[in-house]
Amino acid sequence: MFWIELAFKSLLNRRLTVMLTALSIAFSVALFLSVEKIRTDTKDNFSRTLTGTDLVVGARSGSLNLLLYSVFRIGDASNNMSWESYQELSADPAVAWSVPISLGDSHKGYRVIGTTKAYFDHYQYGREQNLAFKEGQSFDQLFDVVIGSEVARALGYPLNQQLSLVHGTGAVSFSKHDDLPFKVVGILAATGTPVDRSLHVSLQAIEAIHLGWKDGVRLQGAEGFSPEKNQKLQTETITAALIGMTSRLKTFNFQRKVNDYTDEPLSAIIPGATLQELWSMLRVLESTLLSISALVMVSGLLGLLTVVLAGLNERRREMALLRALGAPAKHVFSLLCGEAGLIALVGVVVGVCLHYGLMVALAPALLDRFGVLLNISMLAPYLFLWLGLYVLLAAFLGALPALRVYRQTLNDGLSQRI
Amino acid sequence: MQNAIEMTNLSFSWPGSQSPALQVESFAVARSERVFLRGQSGSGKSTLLNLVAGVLDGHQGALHVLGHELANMRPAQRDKLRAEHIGYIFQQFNLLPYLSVLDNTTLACRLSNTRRQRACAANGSVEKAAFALMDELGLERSLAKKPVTALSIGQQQRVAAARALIGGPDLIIADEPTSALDTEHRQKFIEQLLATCADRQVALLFVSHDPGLRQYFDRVVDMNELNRSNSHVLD
Repeated sequence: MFWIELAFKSLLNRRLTVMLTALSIAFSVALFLSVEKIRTDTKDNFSRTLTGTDLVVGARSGSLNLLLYSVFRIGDASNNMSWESYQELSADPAVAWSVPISLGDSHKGYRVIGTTKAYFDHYQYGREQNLAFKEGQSFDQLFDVVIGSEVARALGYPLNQQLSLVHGTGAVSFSKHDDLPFKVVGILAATGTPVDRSLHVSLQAIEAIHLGWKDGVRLQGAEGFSPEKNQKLQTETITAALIGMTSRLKTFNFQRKVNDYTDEPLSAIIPGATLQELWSMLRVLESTLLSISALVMVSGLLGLLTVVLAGLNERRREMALLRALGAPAKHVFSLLCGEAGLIALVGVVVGVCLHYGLMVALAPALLDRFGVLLNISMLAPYLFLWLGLYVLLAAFLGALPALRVYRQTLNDGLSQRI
Repeated sequence: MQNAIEMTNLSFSWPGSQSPALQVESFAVARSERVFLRGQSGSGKSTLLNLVAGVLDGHQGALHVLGHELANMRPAQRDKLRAEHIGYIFQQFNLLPYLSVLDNTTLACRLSNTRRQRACAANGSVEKAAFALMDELGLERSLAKKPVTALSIGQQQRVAAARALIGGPDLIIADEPTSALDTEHRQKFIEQLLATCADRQVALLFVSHDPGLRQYFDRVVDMNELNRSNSHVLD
């Protein structure tokens, strides 16, 4: 009891340096935890960009390519698939649902997706979450558009905003569909997926704006779409399709069926597996974040070591004095070690609190700006292990100078060489 | 009655050193005796004090402190002997800066039950024992609650003396306690320390390089005559 009281008073006497040390450890722990959290959640988000969909079907191409353009809207499809093939495949009894996707147009750099209303029912992300409408509802009329959260935020579009699409995917395009304006009828809630950066219209709308076009250019003298004439809007090709199976077990059979489809060359990919494959290509990013975390932790420990070393002269007198009063050497030694451990422990606890505060404060901004959905939850077990090891390491580092003083005290005895 | 300190054919060498740092044929301090040990730095006096205090291990020959042969004791037993029976006064930095004057004075009683019981038996309580010593050493009682950092060096050394003397130790080791004081304070401090030791019949081994202090003591021993080792001359 006396020793604890003495240690406490000694710490209190040096409260400024002790607090600063604990704070520097707290900051490094909070930074480490936050970087780690963002790393794992980004990875998690990424691999959960598309869930609930068992297969993505498109024209024959590499699986990464198909995933990139159909899910991430990066790059373009080399080929389309025919509407007939899509109809035939989705009629298979193993298929529970299917959603067609038609790409190729954009609005101010954001991709436009022609699809059906089923898209909003079946597209799932994260832990099988469905898309939700923040405002408005699904498209109903031919020239209705549903926009993702980032599109709405970045372009400042409210409901009923008029906008026109351009042909192609560049931010600047000379092939505009400006004769046929769309109206925003729905704004989706943020998801942390590429859906946030997309505009959704019906397949018929895609057909309508391309009436009188061929190969991406408006035909001279050809008749465009006009609402008065009751033109037939029949979809002939789509870019890809999302497929849900009646049972997961049927996925592989159906995938083989698509890959062996004889009428036209098609590919089917399992999104989860391909997403993992894609993430593994981003390992540089992951290891960069990991090394930042590691450096941050090391700098915290160095700070602790600096403070312990700086306070050592003062502590030498204290130790010699306690030894002269008959305190056993091992008591004095454990006083110094325990102190380093205690500072580290306090630092870690404060750091964990700081981390949670930071995450709660940053979560909305991160989702909004970077599309990273933070899942605020209990620390992962491996982090407990890391933090425990960190406290032990800190106590050990604190013990190193303590050991030096201890040896000096044994050698100097009670006489202090200053 | 045994002597407080008694050494016969004592020698001590630092590990790895060929020649001994300290070689004493015979030296004793009787109970209640106050001895002035004069020596320059490097004369082996620090080694001698550390051996007597039981902090240094590994001497040859006989070294009895308060009736115990230190060579036969384990480190923990020597720590206990020091806690219960020996008071130690340093040249400076005698006090814990984060404790009050009173808490510093009573520190020895916190570390040793024997010291606390003896203080209580003599004065009724540890606080009363501390106040009695403060009175004797010329410290005002109003200082008791003050932080030691608010005290002058002279007052700090008096607090150190009170701390060493509380709880009835049998031996006080004072290692240059006056070298940080000016002449006027030095004389007063020594007179008060000696008077208190005499009152309480405590043996005092007072070490200093200052030959001007020898007049206050019963007996003066010169370290250069005591230490037969030549190695210190080479330092």
